[in-house]
Amino acid sequence: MHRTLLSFITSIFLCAALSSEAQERTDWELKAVQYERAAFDAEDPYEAAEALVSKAECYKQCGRYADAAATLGRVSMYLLPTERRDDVLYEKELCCYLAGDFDAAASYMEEAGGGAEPRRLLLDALVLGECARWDEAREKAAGLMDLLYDGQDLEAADSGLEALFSRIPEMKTEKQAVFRSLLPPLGHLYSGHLSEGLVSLGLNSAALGWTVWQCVSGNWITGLLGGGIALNYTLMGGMERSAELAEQYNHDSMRGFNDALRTLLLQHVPAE
Amino acid sequence: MKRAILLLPVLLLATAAASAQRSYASKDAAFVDYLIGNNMEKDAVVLLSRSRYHASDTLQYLRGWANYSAKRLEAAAEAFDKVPQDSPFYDKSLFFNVISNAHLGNYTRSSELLEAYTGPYKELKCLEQAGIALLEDRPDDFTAAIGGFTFSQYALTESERTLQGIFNDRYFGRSKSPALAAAASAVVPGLGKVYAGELAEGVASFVAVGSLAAITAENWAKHGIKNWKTILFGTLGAVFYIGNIYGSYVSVSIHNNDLRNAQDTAILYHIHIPLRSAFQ
Repeated sequence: MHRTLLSFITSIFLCAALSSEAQERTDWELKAVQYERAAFDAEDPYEAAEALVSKAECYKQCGRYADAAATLGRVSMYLLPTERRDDVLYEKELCCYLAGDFDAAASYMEEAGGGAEPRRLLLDALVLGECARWDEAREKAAGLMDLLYDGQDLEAADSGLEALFSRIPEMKTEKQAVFRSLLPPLGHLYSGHLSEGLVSLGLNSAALGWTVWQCVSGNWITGLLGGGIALNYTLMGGMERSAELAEQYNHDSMRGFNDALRTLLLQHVPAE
Repeated sequence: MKRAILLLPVLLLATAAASAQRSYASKDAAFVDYLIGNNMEKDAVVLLSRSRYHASDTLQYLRGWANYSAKRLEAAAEAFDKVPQDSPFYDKSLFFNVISNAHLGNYTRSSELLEAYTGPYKELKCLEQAGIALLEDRPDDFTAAIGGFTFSQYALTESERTLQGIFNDRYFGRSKSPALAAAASAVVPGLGKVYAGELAEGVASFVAVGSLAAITAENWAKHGIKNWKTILFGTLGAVFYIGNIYGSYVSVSIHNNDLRNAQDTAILYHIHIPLRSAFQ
């Protein structure tokens, strides 16, 4: 009885004493600083490199992906053994991807030279998708399916990929949109905005009609100056708007495709 | 049971001792400097605000300095306020407190701090007082403060001259008049905007008002004053003409405000730069 009571009281006090330490454990920002201190105090450069990798992990835990990538950028890679270097490169690629810096992520992917693990193939496919390098993304995604499945399951997964990659978005160029908008509503139509294009056509026709009507009626100044100013606004405005719509179309299409790609791939990869 | 009751105070003491594990901020001063010097000011703020330290003037100074470097000026001013007068960090804390408050627009607080200062940095104090007086638009106090300028200290001379230059520009220089801009636009549409320094806008205004006037004139001559086109373009022309006069007035006011803001930024810069040299 006494022993039970004794151990009960001891456990209560141990819990109380350790609870503040437990709170600290979730304070990733403070942990990150402590790892920075470990790097600062380290006598061995390898130890400092490892401390920086741990610091980056803390930043990742609190959602500061850009800071995590910057911290990993400070790691002296040549000090790390080959296997560890690959891990750190993967982390760099991941943090850059999560921070939205896809070009940097792609460059780390190329530095790593590609690996055959599912997590690496998954990340590479996502990064390549964000960089609009569709063929390479498809290759990586197919490689991932090869690793995960065989037989009929593989066929089913591949057909899912085929279905998705048959809808690769076609990118529009702003130059083309501006050029076509010289003849309304072609510029708007190019980015799939017919109704807005018809409004633009109406406005341009009205401005042009006014110019012609006034000139035919002998009011040259009213026709040329009034119509000219109105056309300047309607035509130039239409050109600017078409370029904007093309950019928006590209952004939306890429976002939609990459979201679908991510959803599809994550369905197949077990969570770590 | 008795053993358990005896153990209770022992465990209590042990817990209290464990929770009271605090260190001295001075031990971390080099690390904090390293963080601030390597663009990790945010980390320095986290370290100093979330670690357990004994209360000390060093801790308050380091907190102030880290927050100041991280551009968290309110927190910086709050920490600098707590550095006592007998601390070796007092002078630096006070002057950076003045700058923090000046950046926050609390000029009165900056002036109070400087007024109370009796330390060795007398000329620096005069420079700061002159700068704050300019920011607060107190020309007499500025003139009184520059009495302490010797123009002999390398770190202060350039800033002293710049403040004097800003003072001369602000109180004795020619500033642009919004009324003159409005009058100019009334005579020639767009001229007020050119006077305000906006040439392209001035030309655009002239073309717009001129075109509308020409269209109105044509319709008036051909169809008479009661024709709908004469009335429509005449009204539009009048609206543009009046709008342009008002726009010119506003443009010069904005120009003057921009100039004043640029001067204020220069003042803040020049009361800050000497501190870096003085407290390196």
